[in-house]
Order: sequence, then structure tokens, then C-alpha cells
Amino acid sequence: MLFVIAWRNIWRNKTRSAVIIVSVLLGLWAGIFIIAFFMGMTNEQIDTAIAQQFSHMQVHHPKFRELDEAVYTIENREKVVELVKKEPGIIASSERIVITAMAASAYSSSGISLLGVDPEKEAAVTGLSGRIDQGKYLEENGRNQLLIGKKLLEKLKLDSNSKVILTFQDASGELTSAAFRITGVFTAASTFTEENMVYINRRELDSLAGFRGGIHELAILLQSNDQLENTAAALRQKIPGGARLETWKQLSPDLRLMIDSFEQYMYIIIGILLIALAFGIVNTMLMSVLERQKELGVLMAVGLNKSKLFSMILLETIGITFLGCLAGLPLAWLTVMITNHTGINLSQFSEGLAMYGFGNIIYPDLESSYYWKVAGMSISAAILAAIYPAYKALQLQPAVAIRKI
Amino acid sequence: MEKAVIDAHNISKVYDEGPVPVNAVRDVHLHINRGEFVALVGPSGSGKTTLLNIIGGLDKPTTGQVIINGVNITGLSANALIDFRLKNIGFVFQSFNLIPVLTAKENIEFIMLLQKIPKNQRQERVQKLLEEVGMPDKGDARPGELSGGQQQRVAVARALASKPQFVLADEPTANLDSTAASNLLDIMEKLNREEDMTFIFSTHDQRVIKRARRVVTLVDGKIASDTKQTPLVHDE
Repeated sequence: MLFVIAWRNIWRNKTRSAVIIVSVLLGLWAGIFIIAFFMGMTNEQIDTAIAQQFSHMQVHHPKFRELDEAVYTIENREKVVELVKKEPGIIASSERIVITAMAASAYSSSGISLLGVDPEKEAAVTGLSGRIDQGKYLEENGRNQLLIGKKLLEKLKLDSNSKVILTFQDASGELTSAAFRITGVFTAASTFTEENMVYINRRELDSLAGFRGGIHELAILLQSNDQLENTAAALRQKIPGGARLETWKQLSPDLRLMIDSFEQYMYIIIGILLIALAFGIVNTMLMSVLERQKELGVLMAVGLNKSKLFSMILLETIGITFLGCLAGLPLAWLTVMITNHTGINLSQFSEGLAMYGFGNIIYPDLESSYYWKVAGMSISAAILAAIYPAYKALQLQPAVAIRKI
Repeated sequence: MEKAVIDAHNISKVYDEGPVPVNAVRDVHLHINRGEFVALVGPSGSGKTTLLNIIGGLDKPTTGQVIINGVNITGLSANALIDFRLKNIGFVFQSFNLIPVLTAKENIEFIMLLQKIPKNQRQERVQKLLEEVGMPDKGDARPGELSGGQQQRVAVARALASKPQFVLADEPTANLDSTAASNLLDIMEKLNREEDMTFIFSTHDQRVIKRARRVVTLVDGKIASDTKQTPLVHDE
């Protein structure tokens, strides 16, 4: 019967209840959509970073990343490459020579990361061949060919067919310079990649720098990110000393931090929304209680004890919030599903987004468990919001309350 | 010897919320036996409702004690008092005070639900009570769909639902026309006669006063007179 009274009380003042239900609905919808949008952005950034920059895993000499010196090539390279090829779940790998170099044009110069790659293997790992904006991709046996990022091309004030002078230290520490002609201009989601990466054929760079087949980096692409930890653990067991395998989480601690802190951001966003919502609920329920003082006094007079009275107010509040959740959750789910399918085009902010490695189109996405978490948090907020109005109801003196007009 | 139901000793009530304290009830002693049909009368502000509320445990006296069947209700906690009222006292209010979101049936049943009476017994008693108050076919109506007289009859049925030892009625006929008031009094008299239920009214309605068997008159919060009388029967 308490449930019946609470339910009917909700519909007593339809406008007021509707305002709160719509507030809960909009709060949930907005909260969930914002979280899904951020998660979509984060996923996009991770996917882009894996696809274009880090791959799922990389193998280096243990000191290479720390000291950034070209002398630290991967030891037992052939064995490592063979082990990686045999490991299940790996769909592609790319051997790279990575050296710090200077790229110079007639007008300008810039420090760069020079990557010597096997064109086909690199294309399989990073999809670089599919991101050629002008010109063409590197050829397997091409000579003096160079791929440059669009940003770097603009920075060096070059044309897509210009010559570029590359200067770098060879394996023995001597400075070496060579002229290359731009074969193609690539684009990347990340501004950093477009401004800093220059690709040439690995065999050509090896012959210039004298690494004798040595490589600094072996980039590995998996079928799925879900296999990351298991495959990494399996390979670590097998890879000999003189080579160290790291996942993208280790290679990019800032991305890892973003993922780890995502849940905290979610709770903060939802928390702020729910606090605002809770005040709205407190206000409405307080009005409802104060309007019904006489009725509540009668209920207490005829035998409704304080715990039942408290429960009744609580049920009304939970009921009204539940209705808001019932409408808000499907609406939020639908919005996320639709925008996940269509994407949200933010190309007008593309420059700013690219600086942080985001693509132009964001696909909002949210795991189903978050919907239940948000619903649970909303009901919890409703319970907290009900406490003050219920407390005010408990303070009523039946004899006084009954006389209220 | 008649068995005592209510013993009010030395009851005083002072309201001191305003600038000047108001002595609503002053040193009242009242003894009411089982089966009595008592009218508390007096002009407005004489303390009728305050005394009724104190007797019913809705309000606490400033001094004095109310003992009902040996239980000093003035010493009970708020929850114990609510429980005591639920089991022993039925209330009828001047402006009916039914729960507007519940039907007539549900308003009556609600009290029994609080008493944890099984559903079949509840439903049986609700129907019986509705018949007793002459509204067997109005059970599904909400208070807003009933006339004042009908609402007050439902309120009486609600007051009787818990089979209380006594019923306190505060100006029960104040908002009723003559016919409705007369019908209501007939119902109450019948219950008093047939079920030995004690009724205490606060009223200044002559229709009620004439039909009471005992009239306690309050003036300025004090009992000015306490007389037994032969009531007029309805036909008279």
C-alpha cells in the first residue's frame, strides 16, 4: 500500500513530477553522451596511435629508447624477427632503422626522426601507403625516394617533388649527408607524426649509415588489442637478451594514463550532474512534503510510524528518479548507437584535434556496464536527495500538522 | 462497576510559541468509562480540540498524565505512541482528512494493513464497514468523487477499521448538512450501542450535543460542568 500511495503521489502533481522526470532524463542523457563522446575520442586516439604510431608492440635494444643512440640495434635480430613471425595473433611486423636526423631545404631545416623501412611491411603495419596525400608511396627497390609528412613539407616550404638534404650520424658516429627526392607526402592524425617522421627505404639507409642489416625497432601489429597482454607475455618469455619488448601502454604512458583515469573522469562528470539533479529533487520533494503536511499528519495520527513515513517519501523519490532513468537510459543508448554509427564530424576543429592525435570524426562509444553504473548512481543520488524532505516529514507533529490548511 | 478506559489527571497545556503564552487547557481531570458517548462542548477557543488531541496522544500535555487502560501514554516515545494509537484509537476529523490518492476502500484498508491483518480478513471487514456506514457501492470512489457526508462516513469507517476501544471525533458534523449529520450520528450511536465502542466528540453542534449521553463543558480550558443526560433519539 505504501508503494501504491507513493506511486499515486508521484502523479498527483503531473507537471511538477514531469519536470523532475525530464530533468533526470536530460541529466542522464547528457551525462552518458558526454562520457560516450570522451570514450569515443579516447578510443579514436588509442586506435590512431596504434595504427599510425606505436603499433601494438615494439622491440628495441634495452638501451635504445633510454639513450636514443643509433649504436643500439636489436641483438639477435634474425631470431627475434623469426620468433615474432611464428607467434600466433600477430598479423604484421615492420623492421625499422630509426635515427635522429636533420632535414634541410633551400629555405629551412628541421630536426626529424628518420625511419628506414621495408615499404610493404611498413604499409601492412601502419597503413602508410593508404595515407599518401600527394605523389606516391615508396617502392621496394626505389632509389633516393623519401616520404615526408604534410606539415613538415609546409614547414620546409617544399613542393611535393623537391629535393631534401638529410644529415645524420652513421653507425660509426660520422656525420653523413645525402640528397633525396620527395616521392610522396603523407598525412597522419597526429601533428607530431606529420612534422617529425620521414620515411626512406631501409636498405638504402643501411647502406648509407652502415648498420649492416641491423635494426633499431621492430613494430608488431596484432589482430586485436585484446590479445596484447597475453601475446606480450608469451613473446617476452621467448625473446633473448639484447632485445626488449614493450606494449603501446609502455611506449606511450600518457595514453595509458588517459585510459586509467577515464573512469575517474566519468565519475566526476556524472557526480557533478547528479549533484545538480539532487538539488532539484530535494527542492521538489520538499515542496511536496510541505504541501502535504496535513495529510502526513493524518497518516501519523492513524498509525503510520516514522520508518514507514520515511519509506514512503523515499519510495516517491526513487520512483520519480526511476522513471527518469527509464526514459533517459534508452534515449542515451539510442543516441550513442546512432552517433557511433554515423560519427560526429568535427573537421572544423581538425587542426586542434590533430595536435592531440584525434581524428576528425568521433564515434561515441560506451560499454553497457557504464549505463548500469550511471543508473545506480542516479538512484543513490535520489536516496540521498530524499533524506532531507523525509527528515522534515518526520519532524511533523500530528496535532499541528492536521490543523494546517 | 464500569471499566475505566481513559483517566486524565491534572491536564494542562500551555502554548508559548507566540509573544503571550496561551493556557489552552487548565488542570483538567476527566474519567471516561467504556461504552460512553461523550460530547466535549464549549465555545471556540475553550480547549475542546486540544483536550481531545491530548487524550488521543496526538499532542503532549504541558503537565499531567493520560492513562489509558493502565498505560501512561504521556510517557511513550513518538513511535510507541503511533503504535498505541493504531491499536486503540480511531480518529474522525472535522474536515474528513481522507488520503486523496486512495479510494474509499483503500482508505479503510490502510489502517488494517498497518496492523498486518491478512488480506482476506481486510477485504471482508472493509466491505462490512462500508455497508455499516451505508456506502456498500462507493468503495472504489476516491475522496474527491464523494460528497462531504459520504467522505465523513468513510472517515468513520476508517476510524473503526482497527476495531479501536474508543473513537475520538473532532467536530465531526461541522462540515455536514443536517441530513448527513443525522445519518452520521445514527451510525455512531448504533456502533456505540451494538459494539460497546466509546465515542468522544468535541463539538458545539447542538445536534450532536442533544444525542450525547454525557456532556462535558469546557470554558477557558477548564471543565465548567460534567453532566449525564438522556439523549434525544433520532426520531425525536
